[in-house]
Amino acid sequence: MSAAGPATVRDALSSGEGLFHPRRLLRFLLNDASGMVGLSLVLLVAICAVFAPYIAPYGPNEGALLEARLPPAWQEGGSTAHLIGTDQLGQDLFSRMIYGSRVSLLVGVLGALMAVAIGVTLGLLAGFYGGWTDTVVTSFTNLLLSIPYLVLVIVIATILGRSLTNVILLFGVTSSPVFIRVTRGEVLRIRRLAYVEAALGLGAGAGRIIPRHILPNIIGPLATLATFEMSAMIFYESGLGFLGLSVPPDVPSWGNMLALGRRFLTIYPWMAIYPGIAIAITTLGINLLGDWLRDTIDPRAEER
Amino acid sequence: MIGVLVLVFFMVRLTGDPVSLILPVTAPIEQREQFREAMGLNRPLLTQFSDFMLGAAQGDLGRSLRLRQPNVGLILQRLPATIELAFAALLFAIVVAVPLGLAGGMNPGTWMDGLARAVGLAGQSVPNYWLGMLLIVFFAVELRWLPSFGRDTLLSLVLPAVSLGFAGMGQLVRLTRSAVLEVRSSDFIRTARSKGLQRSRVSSKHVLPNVAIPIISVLGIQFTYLLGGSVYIEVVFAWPGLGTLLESAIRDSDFPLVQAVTIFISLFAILIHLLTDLLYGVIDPRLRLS
Amino acid sequence: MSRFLKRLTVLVLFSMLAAPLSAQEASGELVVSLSSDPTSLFMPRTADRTAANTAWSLYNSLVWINDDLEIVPALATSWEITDDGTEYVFELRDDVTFHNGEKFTAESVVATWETGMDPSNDYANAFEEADSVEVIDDYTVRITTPEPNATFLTRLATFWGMVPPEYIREVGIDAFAQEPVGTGPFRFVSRAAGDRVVMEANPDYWEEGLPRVERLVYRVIPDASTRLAAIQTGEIDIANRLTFDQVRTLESNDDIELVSYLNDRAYYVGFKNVGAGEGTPLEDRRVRQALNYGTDRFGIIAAIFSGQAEPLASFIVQGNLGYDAEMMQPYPYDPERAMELLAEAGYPDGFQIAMGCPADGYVNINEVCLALQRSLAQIGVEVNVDFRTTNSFWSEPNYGVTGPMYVDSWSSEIGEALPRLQGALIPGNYYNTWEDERFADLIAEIEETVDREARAALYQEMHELMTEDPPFIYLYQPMIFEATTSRVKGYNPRPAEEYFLKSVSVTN
Repeated sequence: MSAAGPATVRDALSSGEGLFHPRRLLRFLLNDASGMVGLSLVLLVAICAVFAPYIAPYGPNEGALLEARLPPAWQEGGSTAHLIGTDQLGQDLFSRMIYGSRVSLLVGVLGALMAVAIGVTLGLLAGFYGGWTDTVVTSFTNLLLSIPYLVLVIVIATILGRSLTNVILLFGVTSSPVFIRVTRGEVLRIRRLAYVEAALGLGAGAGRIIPRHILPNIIGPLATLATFEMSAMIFYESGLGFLGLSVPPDVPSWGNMLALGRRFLTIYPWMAIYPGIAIAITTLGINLLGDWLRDTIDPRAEER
Repeated sequence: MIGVLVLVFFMVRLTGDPVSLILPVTAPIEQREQFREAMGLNRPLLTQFSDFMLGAAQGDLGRSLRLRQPNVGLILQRLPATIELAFAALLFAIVVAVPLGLAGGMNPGTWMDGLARAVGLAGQSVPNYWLGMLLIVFFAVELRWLPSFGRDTLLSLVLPAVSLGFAGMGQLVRLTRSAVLEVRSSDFIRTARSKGLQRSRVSSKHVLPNVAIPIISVLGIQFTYLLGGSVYIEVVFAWPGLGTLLESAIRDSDFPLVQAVTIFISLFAILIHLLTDLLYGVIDPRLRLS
Repeated sequence: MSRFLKRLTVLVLFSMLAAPLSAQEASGELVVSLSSDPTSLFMPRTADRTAANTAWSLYNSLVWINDDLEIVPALATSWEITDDGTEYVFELRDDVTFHNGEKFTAESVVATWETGMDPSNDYANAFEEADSVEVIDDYTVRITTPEPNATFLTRLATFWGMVPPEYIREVGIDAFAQEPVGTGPFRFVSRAAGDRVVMEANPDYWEEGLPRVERLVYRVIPDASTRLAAIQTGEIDIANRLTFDQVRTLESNDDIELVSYLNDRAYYVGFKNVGAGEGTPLEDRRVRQALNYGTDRFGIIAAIFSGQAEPLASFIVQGNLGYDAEMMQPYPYDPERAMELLAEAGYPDGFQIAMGCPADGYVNINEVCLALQRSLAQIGVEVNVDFRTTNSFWSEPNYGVTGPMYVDSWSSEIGEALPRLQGALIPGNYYNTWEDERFADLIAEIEETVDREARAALYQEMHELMTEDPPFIYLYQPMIFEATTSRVKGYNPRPAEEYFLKSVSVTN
């Protein structure tokens, strides 16, 4: 977004210094307001997830039925003991929201990592070896991409059933095609570069070319992409929860809370409002961070 | 496309046994067997598969187990509702997003631009089904301005279309804004400006056509996304389209219907992509050559 | 010209005849919500209650079950049953026509039976219970059953919606289901899949003064919260399948009337003594008794259902034939007794066991499963709740996907516990997981006992057996909550969530 940032990164790259030198990245980040906002939001959610037991006033499944369906503290009948009210089992909504960040972040982080791992591996294989490996990988990619994403995800979620592992697996696999494509394209491009061709001609194998020449080139775009995929996963995980297809119902997750809140939508709207805000804040934070990352690493990347 | 058929066929067969979900709980085992027989479910999987592929080649996507009707017919009955919703959502997105994006892009740094950026981010971050729920509470239950569910009059289209189109709107605002920024900084605009052309003229003659191309390319993608996203919105608003059809088919493990809807939506998405490509050519003749 | 005149005279005559008959003119429009799109409007294919409720607006059967759950004449004016209980002779009404103008005769009963048995039908078995259907004359028909069948008339009233022979034979079942024709109070106008079914009053309906509304619109709204919103805005007149939590806030709303009644449905935890249940502590009767003592069903009802459910004593629930409140007391909540029994059975420290739960399959079921877990933990039984999507939960015979225990429910639409007893306790049935000859023999006896009093006694015997050596943990019998707009009069749903709209009227 800011015009100055990108140029300096380019300079940094050409001067041979690592792009991911922490101090450097931090400096760029501090210079960008929306990047900062994004970072703070993501940090906020991450802190909630890591320190949930310390932040949340109650356990996620702890509830007194006498205190069921309490409105938020500032509404009539609300209690300061339960800041944003309780659900139909008397469980503290605020605590559940704090704990819910764990599911969302786990799905987002692990899902994205898995997608990157699958994507890079297959993309490298396809791009480097070509031939039938390429054909197989490319058709797998096209196959997954030709079914509208949400439909694919819903159908697979039904098959897999409700568990956290399944949800992570689901997003890891279904999001891998974009990473495969990017990696493969980049490998093909780099292979054609004079110096790589020369290295290949000199007998350098995959073991040398990949870490030396290919990985450094793709890590930037992949990181950006992974950030956006992460926010998408968090977004869609809650969607699955909403349809009753994500983690088991006793696990506090924002999607599950929304699904429950929807049952009482017109009478106890607070049950549905706050988990939605949590989802929105998290995706907003990650998206802002992703925007910043993209602008910084690759200023010419188009809006997707 | 054949890949899609294969994948979908085997994928949906893993979702559970349809007979147990479709027949009444009291149905005795013999009746379940008879039903299986009548529906052709106890033939070898490969025979079922080859029949399915042969049928698909002739445009026959089988029959629904639960509704006992040809799937194509069921889909066509529901299709208009979904297309209507998707178009309305797209229209909403365009009507809000393009002017806002243009205004933002043409006046960077102003409050207009700030608004455009905010709307862009909001669209990306707010879950559409959640928005739908809030809209129902506010506009249907509290204010009673608009219907809360179903497909009745044109009014009943408003809330679902806004919820569904919200994400697309966000993306479009961002896209339009950045496309405008890019075009404005390109050489020919600067030349036109320096030649003393009026601002409004510059924007209508030079900026708009160049901004249109990326917008149209995204509209194609948007439409595909809307087809998927409509599952949630249709469920929230009890909208009688493909989304609710798919959702109930999944719940019942009515797999001929699940696979038919999935395949149909995929086909539809591919078709839309082709259409967008064609549209490109019309708008930008240079692309036709390549 | 003359033909036109003739038709005109017929019309005029008709309207003159009709006028004095319908003292209360059918008027107004009634909008009813459906919680799912009806699978079919052909009776033998109405797999769920929603579809059956909708379809019954179009049809009549030979006999009917009235609001007091008694069997009364409908299209048959009278019937006789032979002494051995296997032959029924029905005298039929001679003044009934189908919506398409066909006359209702004995031949219609034959056609109904024949088309009903088609193996593609969900309820083919309800028609296979008859061996033969013979025309004696135009308005007399004989139906024979292979064995005496205690519930045959009930099955007639529940599934045998009479169809016009010529039309259904001409177009076939599939096409018939698209444009159904019956003799019922309403006739089919149109249907938009997933959206609505529209019907209008049958002007020639044979029951005097019925139906009371001119136009009947069913709207499909799968989601309870959407139904709730729609009744609040007045977009629909009848919203069913709501929860107490949802309706309690409507009490103060003058535009809305609440309807509630006890559902004929038993919620329970099933045990397995076959498959996953073999070799588990559940095989010991004392353990199963202990689990019943250790289940705080009263607490669950108070907490999760705000008290709006009845604790369950056995499968014979309130409102069922043979139910006796005094005799049928639920297991008390007695964790100490439970632990004693566990210790006697050799499990002083309890044990671990898995329990399947159909996530979101029923109202509040997730919470019930979790509450059960907590409750049984108190007596040292550590329950691992295995939440399953409903698809996988019910997709294998004998709940094959879950461990030795599972949560489920069973309803009955005949006012007797028989269907759930048969379904759950007769070995070989699809959802049977508990094999015990004593249960099976007693159920077989109930099936063949035509006399109601005798049957009631057998149900009580069944209750004793089921309490002493419990094949389930008995949980609760829920209340059903519905809401109507205050302009709706005469809406009377029945314990199995059945409702018939012919006598419902609306004021404007």
